[in-house]
Amino acid sequence: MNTNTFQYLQQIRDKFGPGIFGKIAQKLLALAFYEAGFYHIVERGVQGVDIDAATEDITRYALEVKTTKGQSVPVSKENIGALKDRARDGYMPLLAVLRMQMFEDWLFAAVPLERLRPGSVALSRLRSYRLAGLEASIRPKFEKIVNEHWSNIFARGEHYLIQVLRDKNRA
Amino acid sequence: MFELARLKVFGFRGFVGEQEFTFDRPVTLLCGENHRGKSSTLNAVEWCLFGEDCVGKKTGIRERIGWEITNRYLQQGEVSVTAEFEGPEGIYRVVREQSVGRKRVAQKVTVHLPDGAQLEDDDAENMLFTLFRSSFQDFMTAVYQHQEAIRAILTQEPKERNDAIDRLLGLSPYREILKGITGARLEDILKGMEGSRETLRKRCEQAIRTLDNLIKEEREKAIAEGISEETFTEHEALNRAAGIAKAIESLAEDLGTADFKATVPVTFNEIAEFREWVKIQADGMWTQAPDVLKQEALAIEQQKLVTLKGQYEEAKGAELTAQEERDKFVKQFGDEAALVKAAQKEQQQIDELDDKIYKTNTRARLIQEAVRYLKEVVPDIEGGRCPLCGANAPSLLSHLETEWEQKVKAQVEELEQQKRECQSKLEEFDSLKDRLGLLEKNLGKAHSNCDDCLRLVAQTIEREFRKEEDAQAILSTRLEQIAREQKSIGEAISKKRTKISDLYGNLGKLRTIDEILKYQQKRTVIEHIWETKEFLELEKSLNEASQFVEDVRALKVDLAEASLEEAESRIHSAQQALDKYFCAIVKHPTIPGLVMEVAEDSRTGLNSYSFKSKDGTDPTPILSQGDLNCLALSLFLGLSEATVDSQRFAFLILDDPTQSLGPEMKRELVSVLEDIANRRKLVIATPDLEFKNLLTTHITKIKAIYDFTDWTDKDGPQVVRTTL
Amino acid sequence: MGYNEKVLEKISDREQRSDERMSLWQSIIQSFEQEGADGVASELVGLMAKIQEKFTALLEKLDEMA
Repeated sequence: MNTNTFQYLQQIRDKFGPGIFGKIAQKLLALAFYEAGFYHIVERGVQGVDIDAATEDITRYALEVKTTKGQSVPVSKENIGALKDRARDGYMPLLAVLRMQMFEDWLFAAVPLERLRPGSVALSRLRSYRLAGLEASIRPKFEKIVNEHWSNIFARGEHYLIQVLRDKNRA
Repeated sequence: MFELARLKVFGFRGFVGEQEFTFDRPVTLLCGENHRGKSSTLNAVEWCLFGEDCVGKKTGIRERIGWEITNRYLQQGEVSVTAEFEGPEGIYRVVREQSVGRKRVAQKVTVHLPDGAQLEDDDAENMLFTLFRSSFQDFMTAVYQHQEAIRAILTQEPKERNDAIDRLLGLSPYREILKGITGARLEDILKGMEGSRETLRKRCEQAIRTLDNLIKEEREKAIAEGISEETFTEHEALNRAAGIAKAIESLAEDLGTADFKATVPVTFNEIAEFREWVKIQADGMWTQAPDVLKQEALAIEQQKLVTLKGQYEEAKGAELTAQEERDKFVKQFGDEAALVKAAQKEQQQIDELDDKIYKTNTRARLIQEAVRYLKEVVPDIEGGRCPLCGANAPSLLSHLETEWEQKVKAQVEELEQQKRECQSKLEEFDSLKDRLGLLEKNLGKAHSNCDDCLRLVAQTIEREFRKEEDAQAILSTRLEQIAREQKSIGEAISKKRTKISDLYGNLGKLRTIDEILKYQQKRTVIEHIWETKEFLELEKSLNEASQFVEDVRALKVDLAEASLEEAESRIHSAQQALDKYFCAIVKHPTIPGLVMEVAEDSRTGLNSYSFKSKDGTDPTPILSQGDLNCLALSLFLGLSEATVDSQRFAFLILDDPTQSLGPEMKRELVSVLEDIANRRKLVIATPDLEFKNLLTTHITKIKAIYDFTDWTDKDGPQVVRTTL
Repeated sequence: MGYNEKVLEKISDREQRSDERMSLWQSIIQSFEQEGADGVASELVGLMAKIQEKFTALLEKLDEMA
C-alpha cells in the first residue's frame, strides 16, 4: 500500500480508535470490491460474515474482515461458524486481514475451515492460503477508494460510508 | 501359524562361539543371573527376523541406540543367526549374517523354504513379510515382551509412561515421527523469517519518516530562500543548472579566462557533480583573475608598508626622546669633559685636606703623648714644674688638656668634615658620569634602530634613501598611491564580484532543490522496494515457507489422528483381556477392574493415556511399581490375545517379566501363563529364581530349561539344557 | 495397516495438496527409517533451509536497496 494511503488510514484510526476503524476498513473494503467489478455486495455490521461479494460468474466470496497492528488476528468461534454457514451456501470463506503498518496491505486467505481453531491466528500461517489474484485486483481499488473518501471519512466518520454503501446498493 | 523350532547363534551380541537352542517343548525357560546372555538369545530371534528394523532410534527403545550386533571379542568371520520356524508346509529356515571387521557393514539374509527353494536379500525380506505378516512393531507388541518396555512403564513421569505405552502398543513410529516434527521447530524458523521481514519493513518505515522530515526541513529552507515550490522538479533543476552554466561562462569572460566552456547537465543525476564542478571552477577563476591578483598584491604591500611605517615612526620617536634626554642632561650637568674636570678638582681638594689632617694629627699625637706621660710618669706634675726643662709650668697638664680639647680636636674635625663634603661631591660627579654614559648608550641604540627600520623600508620599497630624504613622507606617499590603485581596481572588479556572488547564490539554491529532489528520489526508491521483483520473490519464499510449515502441520495432524485411532483400536481390542489379566495378577482390593483410555495431547499431538478403575475412580495414585508392571504385562498379553487370530507366530516371548512383582503377583502370573501355554508356546527369560521355581513347579506342560551358568569374554555364555 | 499406509490414507482423504503432502510424507518416513526422530527433524529443517537460503539472499539484496 502506498505510504500516503497508509497515512490517511492511520489518521482515521488515530481519530476514531481501532474499533470504529475496523468497521470503516470493512466498509472501504466492500467499496473496493464494488470498484473491482463485484456486483453483489453485502456488508454486515452485526451478524454473520462481514462481507459477501459475488461476480456475475460463479465467483462468490464470504469475508471475515480483521484489522491488526500486530502479527496475528483473533478468530472467534462465531467467526468460524459464520464462515462455515456461508461455505454451505456455496461461498468461498475467506479471512481478509489488513495489517495496519506501513507497506502492508490486504491479505486474503482461504484457510480450510476444518483447520481453523478459535484463537489467535498468526499472519505467517495465513500466507499459505493467500489468494494472490484476488489481492492483486482488490489492493489498487482499495487505495483508490481510500484516496477518494478519506477526507469525508475523517470529517464524518463511519456514517459517511454507510451512506455511500447505501447509495451504491440502490444503484 | 509358525512355531519357533530352533535357534543357532554365532558372534551375535553376548555370543562368541556357536550356540544352539531347540524350542521343542511347550515352554522354554532361559534362566540365569543378569548379563549371562539370556536377552541376547531372545534378541537374536528378533534380529534374524527384522534385521536393521530392530536397531536404532526408530525402534523407540533407548537401549537400541548404538546397539552392537557383533560380539566385541569376535575377531573374524561373520555374525550369523539362524532361526527355524515350523510352519504349515514344514521347516522355514531364516539365516541372517553380518560381516565383521569391515568398515561398511554388509548384511545378508537368506530364507530356505520347505520345498528346498532359497531366497536371498530383498526377495528374502519380502518372503519374511509374506510369511509372517509382521513388522518389528507388531512383533514387539504382541509376540515379544521386552524388559525395556516393562522398565519404561514403571516410571512416574506421565510423558515417559505415555512413551512406554505407545511402545507397548506398537505406536512408537507415530510418536517418534511426531517428536521429530516437533523437534524441527519449523514454526520458530518461520517466525524468525517473518521477524527478518518485519525488521526490513521497520527500517524502511524509519527511513521514510526520516526522509519526510528532511524534505520538510529543506522545503521550508528553500521557501525561506525565496525558491517557489513549483521549482522542486527535476526539469526546473536542470533549467537552473543551464542558467548557472551560462553565468559561469560570462564570469570567465569577465575574469579573462580564455576559452572557458561549461558542460550543462543533461540528467538530474548529473546535477550534484555539476554543482561541485562549477564551485571549483568559479573559485579557481576568481583567485587567478589579474585584477584580483593585483588587488591581493596591493593589499599585501599596503599591509606591509603600514606596519613598516608604524615601526619607523616608533623608532624615530624613540630616537628623539633619547636625544632630548641626553641634551637636557648635558645642559644641566655639563658634558663628560666638564664632569671629569670637576671631579679632578674635588680630588685635589681631598688630597690637600688629607695633608692638613695628617699634619694636624701629628701635633695632636704629641700632645696626647705628653698628657699621658705627665699623668703616668710624673705624678707630682701638680708641683708646677716641667719635667723636661724644669721650668716652672704650674698648669702644664691642664694647659695641654685644654689645648687638646679646644684647638687640635676641633681643627681635625673640621678638616674631616671638609674632606667628607669633597668626597660626596666626587661621588656625585662619578654618578653623573655614569648617567651620561647610559643616556649616550640609549641614544646610540635609538639611532641604530632607526637605521635598521630605514634599511627595511628601503628594501621594501626597493630604493636607496639619501640623507636628506624623509622616509616617513616617502612611505605615506606610497601608501596613498596604493589606496588610489586599490580604489581603481575595486571599482573594476565590483561588477565581477556581484556576478560571482550571484553565481554562488544560485548554486546554493540549486543545491537545496537538488537535496529535496534527492531525498524524494530516495523516498521513492524505498517506497517502491515493496513492488520490486526481489520483494515479490521474498514474499513468495515466505509464502512457500508458510506453506511448507502448514503442510507439515497438516501431516502432524494426520499422524496424530492416525496414532490416536490406532491406539483406540488396539486398546479397544485388548481392553477385555487387559482387564482380565490385570485383575487376575494384581487382585487389588480397591480396583474392581481397569479401563484404559487415550486422548490426543493438543500441543504435541502425542497420545496421552489414562487409566480408570471400573468404579470410576482414578487408580493411578494407588498403583505400585508392581501394579504398573502388571499393567504393562496385562497390556502385552491383552494385545497378544487380541491379535491371536491374525497373528502368524504361535509363540510368546517374555523377557524378565517379574520386575517389581511380589510373590503373590508372581504366583498369579504363573497361573495366567499356565493358561496361555495351553494355546501358545512360551519362551520365558528370567533371572528370578523364585519365579523359575514357580514356573517349573506350577506349569503343567513339559518344559525345556536352559541355564545360563556363566559368561566369559572368550567363550560367551555357558549354557546347560535340562528337560522337565 | 502400518503407520505409513494409515497416514497416506489420511493425506489422500484430504482434498488439499495431497500430492505435495504425500511426497513430503515419503521424505519424512525415509529419514525416520534411517535416523529416527532426529532424522525427521533434520530432514524438515533441511527442506526449510532451502527456502530460507533463498529468502536470506533476497533479504540481503533488499537491505542494500534500503
